[in-house]
Amino acid sequence: MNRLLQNRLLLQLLFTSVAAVSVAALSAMLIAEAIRSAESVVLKETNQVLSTATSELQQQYLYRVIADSAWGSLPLSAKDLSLRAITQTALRAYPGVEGGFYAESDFLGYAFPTHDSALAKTDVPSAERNWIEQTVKRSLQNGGQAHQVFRGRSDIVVIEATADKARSISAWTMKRLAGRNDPNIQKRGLLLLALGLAALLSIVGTLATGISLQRGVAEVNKGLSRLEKDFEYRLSPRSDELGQISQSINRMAIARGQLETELRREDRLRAIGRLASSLAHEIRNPLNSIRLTVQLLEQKLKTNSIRPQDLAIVKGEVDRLNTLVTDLLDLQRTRQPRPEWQTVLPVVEHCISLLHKQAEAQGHSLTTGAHQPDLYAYFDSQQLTQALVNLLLNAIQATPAHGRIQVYVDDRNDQVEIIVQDGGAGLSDEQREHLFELFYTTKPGGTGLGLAISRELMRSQGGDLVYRANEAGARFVIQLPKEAWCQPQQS
Amino acid sequence: MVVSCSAAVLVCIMQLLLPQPPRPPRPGPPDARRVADHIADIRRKIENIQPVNTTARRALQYSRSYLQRGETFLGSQRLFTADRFAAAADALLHIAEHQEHLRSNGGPKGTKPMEEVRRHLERVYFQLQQADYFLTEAHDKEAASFPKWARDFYQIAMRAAETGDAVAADENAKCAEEVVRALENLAQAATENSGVRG
Repeated sequence: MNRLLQNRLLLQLLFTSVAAVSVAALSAMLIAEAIRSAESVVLKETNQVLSTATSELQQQYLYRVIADSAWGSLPLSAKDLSLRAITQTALRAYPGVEGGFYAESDFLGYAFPTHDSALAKTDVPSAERNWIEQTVKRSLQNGGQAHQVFRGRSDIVVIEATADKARSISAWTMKRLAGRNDPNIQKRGLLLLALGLAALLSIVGTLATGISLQRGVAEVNKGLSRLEKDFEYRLSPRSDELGQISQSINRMAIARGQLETELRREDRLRAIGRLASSLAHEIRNPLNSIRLTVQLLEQKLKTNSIRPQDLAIVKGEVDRLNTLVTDLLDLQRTRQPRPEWQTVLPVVEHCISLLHKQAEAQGHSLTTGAHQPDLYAYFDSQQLTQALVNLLLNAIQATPAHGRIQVYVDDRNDQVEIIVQDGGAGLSDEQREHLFELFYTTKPGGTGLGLAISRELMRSQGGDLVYRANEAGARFVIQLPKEAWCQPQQS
Repeated sequence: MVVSCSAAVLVCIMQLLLPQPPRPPRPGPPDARRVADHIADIRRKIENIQPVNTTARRALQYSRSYLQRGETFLGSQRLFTADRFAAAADALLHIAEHQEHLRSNGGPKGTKPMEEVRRHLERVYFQLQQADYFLTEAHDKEAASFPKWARDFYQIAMRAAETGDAVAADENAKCAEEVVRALENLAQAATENSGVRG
């Protein structure tokens, strides 16, 4: 349910579909109800009209019979003529109504004055003759009114008859209504069917389009998630509107890659510039020292007063230059890391064992601890050893005699941290600012490359080396990833 | 229950014992004798009546004409046609009588209430609408002016009703009715050889 609520597109699609189906069903029900109501209303009105018309026929018949004492002796042909005159006159006020009289087992005075044809219709309709006879006989049997509705193939026929039982005659009227098989009704039915099909098609189309759109969006989302981890990944091409979005995302990814490459190149150039500048400075200092010492030795050579200590200065400066070159070569030689899923604590304990005696020599206590003994992370153990040893050496040097150095392994969400806490004075704000810059050092005889190299080693395998401010002493933290990390390709 | 049953039996016995009035003759197809008597009766009335105005004279003229044609059909043994022509002549004769009633302010029956006259006018209006149909079916050129004549009587009757003259309204309405009746009789006469329709 939560997943559904989060997926608004799918939810909207669901609501739209339900609304469309509901509206279609409601419309169909309303139309059916309207047709039924219309038929019922029309039938009711027709009944009233026919009842009135039949009563009038009956009334006029009575007037006619009362006024003529010879009526009974007239032959049927004469009666037929007189009654037709009555029917024609009476039914002229009732459009679509035809009728007449039934007496002596025969139809008399039939007329349909509002019939469409130019000529007056004078024959009882043969198609409905039986129905009329049936209704009329029923009225004669019960001596009153009879009303019947017949549903024909193409129309509905309503017949009303009123009998005068004393005179054995019945007046009848009839009206045809458009039935379900009427061409007009059928046309309307076909139109409704077409509309229904159109509604159904639109619902299916909406569903199909919505599902396709939803799948497309899901695919793009999935591609974006993958792109966050793998810059080389490209969204698969699509032919719909989302295809344009995918293409745009791919173009953006390519542009981003190019931009990153460019930035990396510029960074490298800047770093090389800084390195060259620092290197020149670092080399020039011992060279100046050596030059001054050599100049001094030159003078002393004239007076033959050279002391061994004078040569020691030169030797020391040469050693310093040698160390610098070695460290630089180490930096250059940093190999590609090979991280593995392994426990952290054994590596930490190994490093401590390497430096244990050195720490003891200065009276330090070097302790280790862990939040959990079996914390796992992805790392290259050799490079971690190199970085951690570097940090521990710094800590040993920074901690006054008989100080305390602590190493603690902790679990931090998606990382495992190795915290190295020394017993020194800690770092000033300025020192913290330049801490990881190449050749920055506060240590006499230091090259300023150790921390920079250590941090580079950690970053190359998805981890990091940071300085975390502390009340007493310096605290460096190595961060190791818990998930496999894909190193970006460098061009 | 016992009392009502006894009363019913008593009534039945009394009906059997008491002399019954003669039943009216059952109507049937006209026979020569009856038609001849009818024509003679009308002839006598025509001869006895004094037309009070030109309308009455016109009516009597038509009446004589149709009575004569009735006599002719009687001579050729076309009894139904003769009977219908006699009936038409009788209807037209009544127009002359109604004209006389107009003079005598309502005739023997006196003045009718206006409400009854109005209802009569409504029935006449219905009959007037049949006049053209009857003329068509009659195929009689002599009667060509009858529909208009009937409508004229009706108009006079309506105007009289509007002015509150119930006698004039009623008698003219009757005249209109008689004209339509005459037309109907003529149309019926024409059906003798056509048979029942429908």
